[in-house]
Amino acid sequence: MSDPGNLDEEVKQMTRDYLDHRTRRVALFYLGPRPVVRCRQGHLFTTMWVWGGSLKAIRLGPLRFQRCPVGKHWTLVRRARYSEVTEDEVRRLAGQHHDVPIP
Amino acid sequence: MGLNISPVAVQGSEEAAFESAVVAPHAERLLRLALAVVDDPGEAQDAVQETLLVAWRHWPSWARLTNPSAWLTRVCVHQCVHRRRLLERWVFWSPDQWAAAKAQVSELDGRLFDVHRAYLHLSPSQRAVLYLHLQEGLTVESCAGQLGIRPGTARSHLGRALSKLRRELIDV
Repeated sequence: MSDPGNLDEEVKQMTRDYLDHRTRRVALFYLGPRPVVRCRQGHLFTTMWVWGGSLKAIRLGPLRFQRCPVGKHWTLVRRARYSEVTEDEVRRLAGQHHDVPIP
Repeated sequence: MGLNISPVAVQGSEEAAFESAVVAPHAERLLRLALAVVDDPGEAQDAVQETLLVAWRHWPSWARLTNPSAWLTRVCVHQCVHRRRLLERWVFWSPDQWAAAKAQVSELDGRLFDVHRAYLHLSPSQRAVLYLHLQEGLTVESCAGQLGIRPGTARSHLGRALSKLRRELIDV
């Protein structure tokens, strides 16, 4: 970094290299246009999650009390964080365990 | 990096249309942008997933957007900023998360580690402009257009970001 004339370009190139490293090797498994939720028993399913109101669930802040279509029981559910959902779970979720399309 | 589109979304023609118009052309770019802005890869993935959910809610009026790419970029950066704020407030990482973060950093060689150290001090907006300018090759004016800010603000973010990086690298 001794030549001040090339300093900016050198900094930019090193930043490009760093960003290349930082933004690679992470895959995104698209979970679909409906939020994925997990019930307290760990069951995963997709649901309608419209902020503001719902007909089939009791809202408790970030949680909702609703029927789990997987375990067929009433339970607290919360939005599943992407990082908590495994690829296997996404594949199992495909085509099944969708909640009824009512918010 | 590969983008794996799970078949979970393909339910009807609307969802298939959404996938081909929004997910396929934009998701990978958004993920890279999110990874540049937030420090935790899981948070970046969540930010993109959330961005796509917001887009899905706007799907009926999607055709009226003049620049969908810029709109998605703005929503994604907003999600990243929101998540970063939450993370700053609630930093309760599990031992696994700490190990993953340490492993990621230890892979960097000495010079890139210096960039990394300086990069951690950049604000989300500075990171977003830096990424769009350096990695996507956008002009400062285009960066401003994508982020919905004034060109002068974008220029200021970029200047400050480069100045912080330069200082850190000169001090080494």
